[in-house]
Amino acid sequence: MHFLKRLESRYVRWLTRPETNAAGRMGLYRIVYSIFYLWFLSHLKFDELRLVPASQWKPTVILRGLSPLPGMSYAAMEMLLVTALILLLLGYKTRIATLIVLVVGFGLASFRTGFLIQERTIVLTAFYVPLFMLWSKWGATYSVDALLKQKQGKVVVDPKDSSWRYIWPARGLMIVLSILFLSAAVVKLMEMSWLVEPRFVGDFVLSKGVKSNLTNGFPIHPLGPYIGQNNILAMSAQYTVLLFEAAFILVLFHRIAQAIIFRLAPIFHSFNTLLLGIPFTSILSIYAAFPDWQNLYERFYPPRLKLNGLAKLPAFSLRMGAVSLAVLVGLLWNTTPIPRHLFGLFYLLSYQTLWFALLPFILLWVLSPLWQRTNSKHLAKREHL
Amino acid sequence: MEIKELQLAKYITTAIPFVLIALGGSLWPFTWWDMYASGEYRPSSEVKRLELRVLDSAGQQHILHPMDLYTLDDDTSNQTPGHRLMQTAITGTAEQQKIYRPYLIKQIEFVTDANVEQIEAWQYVWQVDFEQHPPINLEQPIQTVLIDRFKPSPQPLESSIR
Repeated sequence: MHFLKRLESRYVRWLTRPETNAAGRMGLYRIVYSIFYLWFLSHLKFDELRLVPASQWKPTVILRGLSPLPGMSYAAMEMLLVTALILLLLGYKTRIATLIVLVVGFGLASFRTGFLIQERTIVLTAFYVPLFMLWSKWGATYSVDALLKQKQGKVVVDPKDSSWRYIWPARGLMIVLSILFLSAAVVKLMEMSWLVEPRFVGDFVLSKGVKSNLTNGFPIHPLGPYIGQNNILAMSAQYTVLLFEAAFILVLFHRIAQAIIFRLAPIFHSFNTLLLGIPFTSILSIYAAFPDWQNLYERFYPPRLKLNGLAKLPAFSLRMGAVSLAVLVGLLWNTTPIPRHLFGLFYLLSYQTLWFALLPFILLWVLSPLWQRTNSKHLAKREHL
Repeated sequence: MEIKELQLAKYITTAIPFVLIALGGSLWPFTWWDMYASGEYRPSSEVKRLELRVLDSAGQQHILHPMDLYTLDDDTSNQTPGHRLMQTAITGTAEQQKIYRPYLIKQIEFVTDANVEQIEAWQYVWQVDFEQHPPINLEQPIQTVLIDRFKPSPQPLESSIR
């Protein structure tokens, strides 16, 4: 009993630890998540589900007993989801928008799972993120809701507020992500192949590279066959993957481990994409919950692009503007190609290439502690002189 | 107020992970990441793929592979739904072909936004050689076989399965 009490009190201490810029970073995370989800959706067409033979309908437990939806229902749900995502992006009626994103997005993912394949990646974006954020205050900053509150003379939240109340849902996501990584390691250890078959990953790299090329159009990088045929490199890769997946849970326990693992993770995914054709892009929607977006915003966002004029608009215009824009984008989503092109970034980035576009920024971030240290040493030297 | 918020935070952040662990990864969406944990991955020396050459009513030709039929977000996947539909409609039994060809045609028309006039189904076979790069040369299959050529029939989608 005493042990459980101690465990609970340590957990509460961890959960309620203040985090720099907590309010601002969650408000900006809401924007990043909405844009990412819209980009993700722009590559998908849920309307295709109405053409899948009903004999393929193998619903999950959640939809068991239900028949496939009629005709245009999937397209209509998709439009509703897009409308809710625009509201979420703008931060108007944020909690209701989050609820709609959860229910409709998860509903669509469930129907795709019933008809096509079990969606293990989209659940991160469509299920876990909105499930935790439903309880969050991610609409408290950088939102129409915050502007309306300000107009009513209520106290507005300072983006620099470091209270745990803003950040705990992101910590919940961190727990889920750690468990999922750990589950990958545990299942591999239980199945034994990764432990006792020295050629397992070597063969996997060779065959998956070819399969991804033929099946999904990923090019085969020369490094793949090179590693696959070299027993020492292949075995090193085998145990590195196991170690990385098992060690991910350390992000919950130690800040230094967290800093190292979060910096290694994008490199891990980039290599998976490059060598195996496994991009797993939807995991970005969870990773995006952890950076200090407020700090990045203050340092890099051009002041000229700040929408200061919004605060001067009357409340009615803010409300009407948000709803009209959301409904308009929702209605146009499946009727014209414009919104898909726009939020799909004109298809310049695909699931295959997104990691590589992010990699230079990630490498800068990975290396940033080095030059921060060099800079501070340099400054200290100058002060000393 | 703060105590209530803390209770909620504690409850949510422990209940969801608890369900994820307690269900043992068996119930979607609380599934574990068991992908590629085991299986037979010995590389083969030959690989195959079906290709559809579709002629539309405007006289334009479209080349389609299983991955082109559905917009799967899971691009790590084996594109099973596309493969399944193509295989059953092209190389299935006569009964399966009768049922699934109209679905295949509808799907192609959805993807290409055109009316299908004729479909040719080809099977390509490539040799895999990891000593050269790339290990398969998509431009040079070792075998190209025309499996079937067919036109859409006026037959509607089977009411028995729809």
